[in-house]
Amino acid sequence: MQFVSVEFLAFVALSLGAFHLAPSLSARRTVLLASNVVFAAFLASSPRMMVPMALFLAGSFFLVRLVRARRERGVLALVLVTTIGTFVVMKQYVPTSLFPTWQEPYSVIGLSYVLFRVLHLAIDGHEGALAEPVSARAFVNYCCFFPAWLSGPIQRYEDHARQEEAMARVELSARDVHAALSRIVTGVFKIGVLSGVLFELHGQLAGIRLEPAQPPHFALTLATAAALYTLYMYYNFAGYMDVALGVAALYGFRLPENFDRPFSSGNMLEFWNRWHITLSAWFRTYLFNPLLRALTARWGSARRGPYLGVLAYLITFTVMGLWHGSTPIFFVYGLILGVTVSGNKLYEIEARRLLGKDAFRALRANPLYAALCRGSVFACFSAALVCFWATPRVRRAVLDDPLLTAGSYVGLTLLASVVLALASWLRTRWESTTPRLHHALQGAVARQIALGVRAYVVVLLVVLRWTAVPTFVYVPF
Amino acid sequence: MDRRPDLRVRAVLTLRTLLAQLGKTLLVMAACHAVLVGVSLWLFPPTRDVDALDRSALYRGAFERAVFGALESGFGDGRQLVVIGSSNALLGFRPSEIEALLPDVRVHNLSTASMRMDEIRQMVQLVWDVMPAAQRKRTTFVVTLIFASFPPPKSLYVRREAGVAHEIRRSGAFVELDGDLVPRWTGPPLTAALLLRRPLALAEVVADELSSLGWGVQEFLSAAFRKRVFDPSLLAQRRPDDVLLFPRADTPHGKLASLAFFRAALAGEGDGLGRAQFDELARLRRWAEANGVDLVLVGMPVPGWVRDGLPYFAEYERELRRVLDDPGDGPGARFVDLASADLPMWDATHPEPGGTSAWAARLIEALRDARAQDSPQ
Repeated sequence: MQFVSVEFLAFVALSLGAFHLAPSLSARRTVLLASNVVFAAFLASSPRMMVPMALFLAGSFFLVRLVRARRERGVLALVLVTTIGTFVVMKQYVPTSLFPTWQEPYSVIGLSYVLFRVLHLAIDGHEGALAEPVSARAFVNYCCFFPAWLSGPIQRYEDHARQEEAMARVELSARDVHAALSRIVTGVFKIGVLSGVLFELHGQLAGIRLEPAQPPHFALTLATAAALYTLYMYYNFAGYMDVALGVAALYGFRLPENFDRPFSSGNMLEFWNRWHITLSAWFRTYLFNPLLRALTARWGSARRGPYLGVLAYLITFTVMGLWHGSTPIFFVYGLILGVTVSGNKLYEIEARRLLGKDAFRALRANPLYAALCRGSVFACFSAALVCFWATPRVRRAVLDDPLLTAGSYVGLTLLASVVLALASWLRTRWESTTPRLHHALQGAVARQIALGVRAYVVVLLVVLRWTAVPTFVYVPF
Repeated sequence: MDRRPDLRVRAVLTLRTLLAQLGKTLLVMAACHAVLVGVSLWLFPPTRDVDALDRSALYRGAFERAVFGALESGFGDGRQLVVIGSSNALLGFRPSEIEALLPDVRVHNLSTASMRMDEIRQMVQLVWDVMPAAQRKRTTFVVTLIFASFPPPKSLYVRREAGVAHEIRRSGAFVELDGDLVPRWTGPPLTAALLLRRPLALAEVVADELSSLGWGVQEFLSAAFRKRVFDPSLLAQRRPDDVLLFPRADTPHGKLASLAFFRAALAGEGDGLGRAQFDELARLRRWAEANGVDLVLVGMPVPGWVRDGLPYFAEYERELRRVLDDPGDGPGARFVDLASADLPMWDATHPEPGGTSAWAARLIEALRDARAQDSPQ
């Protein structure tokens, strides 16, 4: 069931009605559980396809309870190995002939994010951070909360549990509902219109016109196709997040944000605090921090300390890349992410050392430098994403002619610097020169009309396009 | 602990707020829609007749223009001619020129580019289905035949999705059943649906106009990417209203290029045209006979150099004759042959832009001759 579909609208309407009509907190929890199960059922073409997922959840629930009851490191290790190992087998990251596997087709949609939630529960349970044992219903409602099932955001359990507890006291004001509907409309526009158009443009460019045999033409087309794909990825993913957060808000849930204007980042470290925020936070909490502690304990010193952070970034982001898939291209993707982030960190360390803190701060405040940094961040990420869409022929061409590839990268950096600087300037001008308009739109009637008009325009554009709304780009993960 | 009365009160308030907000949003959306319906009627009142090349009409898509435009015209009370065929009919038979020769007849040209015979059949049946019963008796369908409408299954013309098929799916108003297009609704519901979908068509007009304005940018980018030519003067170009699909073929080189195109696009693997599309023509004849449709099949002009230059042209003529000569359950259709008519040509199939009045005159002459032959003495 796609978020931008009549079926999903109908499902949410029914679920919402049942939820708010439920006479008790327990009943609301049950309605939520039923909604999550129904949503899961729509993810597969037959109920049998969800059996392995159900078994994974059942097994994980048992392991989460076990690790909380018996907080020994050995038990935690066993739980982690079992859970991650089962995930690896279910996603077929290893040859399946080595293990007993399900012989029929099965669905793994959302499994990656279920894994993150299970690991979070297991580790926090081991460390005593879970005040009470997690009940089966709470476990399923947390791991399979339907707005966040497909691709997050990854909410912390204690946050989800607190909000679930507060479901009995949910009372949405007109402003709350307006904000939620507005968010959903924005998300539908991003998914149904922006990402659709960008996907088509990218497809035309990458499919037909990317001809490695014509070098200058190839470099220009590669850069343009890369930029279009990045924007498509952003609007698709951010759009789904908008719909997820808006729908969750109608149930009284406040899910964490997953995007915060990522292309205004001045470096790759900042970028990963603005792009897929909850995933970055998860990896930082459960991989980067423990890894850095371990490295510091083993090799730490005042001089080596910062460089150990560089190494920890490289490893963390390479693993993040591998999480996307098991083929070599995902390893390359992760490596590119790792190299760019760790390289960025290394650059900052050396720049501070050579220039001094104040001079480096002044450099970062320079508008031209800041613009080039933003452009470079965009180009770096676009370069990494080439792994997802380039054909083997294009990849070979990229590797065979590094000078051309570098030229393409530099061109994209410069173009992105100019465009992002212009976008930033326009945004600032808009916000500073239209306070009266903003004030006028704060009135209830004006806001309502604005929402209705926006919703109408979005529906018209989506129906007008009548192309298959691009599937959620992260569904395969 | 649950505090039920408190929860119930909150639930009622929340649901009321939800429904109120949704209701207000839907109300504003309905108001927007109504305004756009009004704007579309003001800017583009329903047309009297449909010229598929008329860029001042509301419907810009070929299918929508053909069916919805025809529907909105109301079909009228008098006699009418509905022309359905490919690009040569689209460009060659201009309603205004034909109406000048037949003052009491309305002419709708619902042709589109590159129509296969199965699509032509679907369009004829579809227009018949949505036409009021009373008007059917006063309508003559003129279906034009050209070799390009009979591609073999493996050819380019069949492998790619045709524009008409795409538009039919997009419209949402028709479904395909056993190869026939069936309207979801007829009568007043169809009329209401037509009115309500006008804002969509209006949005397409805006998109179309923007595309026209952006034609220059498209040409510039195409030249830059494909031909590596940097020509800023292209930016000022606007999309021509009457885009001819093929270059002129009045030189030996032009004719060779034209023949090469039709050999490649149609013959494909070189296996010949096959029977599939000719069977569609036979199906059209049978349907016309069964439903009492006044159907005229017009063999379109083909220059001598095309007859001689295309390897499958003999097969085309043979198969056409086979279908037309089959007695079946009745004649089903009249056939007028303009294949050898000496008419001004642009290329292998299309008319010279300034010579379409001659095409109109020749068509009317042929129709009158055919009617005279059918009339009792």
